[in-house]
Amino acid sequence: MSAPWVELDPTLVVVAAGTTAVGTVSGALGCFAYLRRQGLVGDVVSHSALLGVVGAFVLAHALTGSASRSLAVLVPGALIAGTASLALARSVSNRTRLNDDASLGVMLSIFFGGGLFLLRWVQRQSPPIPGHTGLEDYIFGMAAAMTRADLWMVFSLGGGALLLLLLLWKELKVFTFDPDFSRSLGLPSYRLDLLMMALLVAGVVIGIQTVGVILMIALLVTPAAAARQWTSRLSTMVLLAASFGAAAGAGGALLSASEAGLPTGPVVVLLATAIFALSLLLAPRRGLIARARARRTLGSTPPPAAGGAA
Amino acid sequence: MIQRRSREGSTEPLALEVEGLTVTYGKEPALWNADVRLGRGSLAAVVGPNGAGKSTLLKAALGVVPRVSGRVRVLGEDPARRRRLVAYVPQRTSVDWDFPTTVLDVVMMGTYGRLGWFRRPGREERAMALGALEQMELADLADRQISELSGGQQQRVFLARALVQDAEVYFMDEPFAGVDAVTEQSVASLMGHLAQRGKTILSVHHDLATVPRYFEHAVLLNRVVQAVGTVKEVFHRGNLDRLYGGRVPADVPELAST
Amino acid sequence: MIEFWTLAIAAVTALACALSGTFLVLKREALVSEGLAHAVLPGIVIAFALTGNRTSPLLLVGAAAMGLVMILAVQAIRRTGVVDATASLGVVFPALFSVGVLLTSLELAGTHFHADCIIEGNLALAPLDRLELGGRDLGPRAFWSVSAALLLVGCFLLLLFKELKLLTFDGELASSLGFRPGRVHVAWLAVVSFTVVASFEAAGSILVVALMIAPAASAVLWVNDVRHVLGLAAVLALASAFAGHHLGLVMDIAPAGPMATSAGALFLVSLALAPRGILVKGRARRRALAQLEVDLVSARLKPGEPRDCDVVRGELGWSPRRFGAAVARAVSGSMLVHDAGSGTLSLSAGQAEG
Repeated sequence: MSAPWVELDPTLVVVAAGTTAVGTVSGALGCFAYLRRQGLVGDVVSHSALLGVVGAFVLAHALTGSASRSLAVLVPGALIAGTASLALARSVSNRTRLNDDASLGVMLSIFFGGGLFLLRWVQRQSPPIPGHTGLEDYIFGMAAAMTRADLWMVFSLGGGALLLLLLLWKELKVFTFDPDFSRSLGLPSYRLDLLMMALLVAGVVIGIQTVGVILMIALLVTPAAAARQWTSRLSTMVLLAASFGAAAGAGGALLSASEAGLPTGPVVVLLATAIFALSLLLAPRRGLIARARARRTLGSTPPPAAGGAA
Repeated sequence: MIQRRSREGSTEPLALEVEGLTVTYGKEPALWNADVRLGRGSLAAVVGPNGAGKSTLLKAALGVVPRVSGRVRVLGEDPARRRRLVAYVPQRTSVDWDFPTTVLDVVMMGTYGRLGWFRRPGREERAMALGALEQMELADLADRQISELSGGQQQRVFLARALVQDAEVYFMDEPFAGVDAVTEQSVASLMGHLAQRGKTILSVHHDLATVPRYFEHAVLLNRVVQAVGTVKEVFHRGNLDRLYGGRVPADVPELAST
Repeated sequence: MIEFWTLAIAAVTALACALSGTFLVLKREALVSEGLAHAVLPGIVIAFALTGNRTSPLLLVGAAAMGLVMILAVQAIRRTGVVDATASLGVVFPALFSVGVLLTSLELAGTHFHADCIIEGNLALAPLDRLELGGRDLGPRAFWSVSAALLLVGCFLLLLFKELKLLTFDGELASSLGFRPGRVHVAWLAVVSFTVVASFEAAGSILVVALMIAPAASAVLWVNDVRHVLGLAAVLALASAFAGHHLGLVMDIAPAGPMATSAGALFLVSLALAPRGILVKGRARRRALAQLEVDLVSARLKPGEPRDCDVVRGELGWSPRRFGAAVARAVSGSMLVHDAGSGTLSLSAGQAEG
């Protein structure tokens, strides 16, 4: 608890930089999923990524003989598994009577169940595959295990995703707000949909090492839901969500470093939830307090005829 | 590739030419073998019962839903090549009006097609959007969050967005649905104004009583096209009884009983 | 004997989860099970820390209450009108789960809850933890708790099947008939929450989710009637439990992953083979499309008026290949006559009269 800032050890710097970067990227990317009302899609993607992570590990071991737990190997696996599970869920709900929720849930069962299956199998191998013990950490996250190389992976993948978001800002915006209209402009909706999916998967993949596949959803949805309360502009919302995510990430890393045995992931999530709760209460106009006050000052006078849409 | 074109003498291409258009979402076709031809400057209503494929006709003409069969020509070309000359006004209720954006922002989306990929709207686009808002009498709401608008104001925002597109052909999906009297007047006068300038309008319309007042042409649709023509020619009791299976929904006083 | 109890616990868990999951799947609430399976964790940890007594039924009730807390919290947030239902769920359940993990890591509840058990449960140990009453051994505690859940679910289904069905398929109708969908709904979710908690120790969160969703989703592809869906889901869940258990034994790993994977595999089989699966439906759709194409060519023709093939093809906007195939089908079905010499099509005589 007594560690002053000057004595920050280099590992903590790496970890804090990593969680901050993860919070920033997932906060920003989560906004679009939130606005498309696909908050829980991120949950399915992150759970599914486990199969990709373990699968990539096994495949790398089988091909090269040496086991690598570097993100450069595991991230492509997670990207493929996450995208595959989403695409399968989409095609099931498009082509059968099952609704989105059910098909997403089934894919979660298959991919996460399969991931666990494979993970336990890997752990049973004898002689043991070196490095397999770290795979377990993807379930609950292990921010402390982040290396400098991992940090670069987070920076480059996250930076790439944010850059794409920036470049295609107006296309993604009009597609999210009014898909039919964007199609009438000639925007390729299928490809934009795919891009959104890829961005979401990228956001998930860089975060799972830090907070784990189970809690990843909170880094996508919670900062976005909090940010939405403060602003009526998409750009501000994305910037705010990124800042909220960054604050929760940095705070979580520092807090859990100060108290031995405190897992980083849950602390990050609870910080983000606290920000959400405060936003729900305090935000101007949309906040509960502001609305209660507005109702009181309005008194018994009837609500204005205009602005009825709420 | 032999293209045998045996069209009547006019050299100017039709605004909209739809042949053999069939669209199916599930088992039953939503639209069957539809032929619709509209000359430039037409002001046409698409009329028919619920589930008659009215919105589908618009979307297929825009080339945004896949079609089983059919050829669509907008001003003589494939709709994909006429995007810049076409404006689409979707149903007001098809979007989330709680989306974090402002009125001006939504209207500026009308410039996105012209801007192309990557380019951001600038001062010029902003000025165009403001001009369109002015025209729809919404200038003072430019910076308003869209969730604070009334239904009529939302509709006028959508129309302003279409105006910014500065198109030749306008597809509108129920622009009169659930709007106040002021908006109804302004939508009607906008349509008339556009048609006078030679623009073509095809609009899904629900209120049978106002068809003769606001439109010059009508497309009677119930999965198949029953009739296309001027309101005088096709919009009569006999056709409507057939269209609605003998149950014309509202009292339509202005109909001649011919 | 231990083997017997292991299977018995797995079977009853599978039944309770599948039966309660069916209505979640039908009501577009499948992912509520995912939420519940995580949100009950702090309830379990707190209840255990308070009672310090694992045999206490209070543990189950207390933990199930945490599921209700989640549901009520989600509803409360949604009612503010500024956050939609999906996002509310996405905010609330990870927060509750985080609280649970933190409490576990602080070892408030002793060392009993290992991280693995949260996800996979501990079916292997469950038969060893006995329920004793007045010195008599009544069998594994886990068996009795999941049986209680199954009994609860069964009673609810028997007594309120009609209301539940109405609520699932038409919420508005249910309220107009005075069934108070709010209360029935919340009561039902409380039962589901209890089932989640009772299954949790043996099955863990992943298996609860998999058993609640996958069997019901598979059953929906085979049968129509809700009763049949329930029955088939139960059978499929049992099959997944047994297959997964066997796989786990053979490979010497915890059975939760294999059981979930088996449930998923059965779903994939259903997707391929069931009457409403992708393959069968795809074939039916292709056949319908082929018929539609024949009808469309005919629709472009009038009796007694042969028309040029290329003109008709142009109007339909088809490739020569697609058009040729459709014409060939129509000719072989003697709907059309194709005159190769002049390159024209006409309706066959029988068609023209019809």
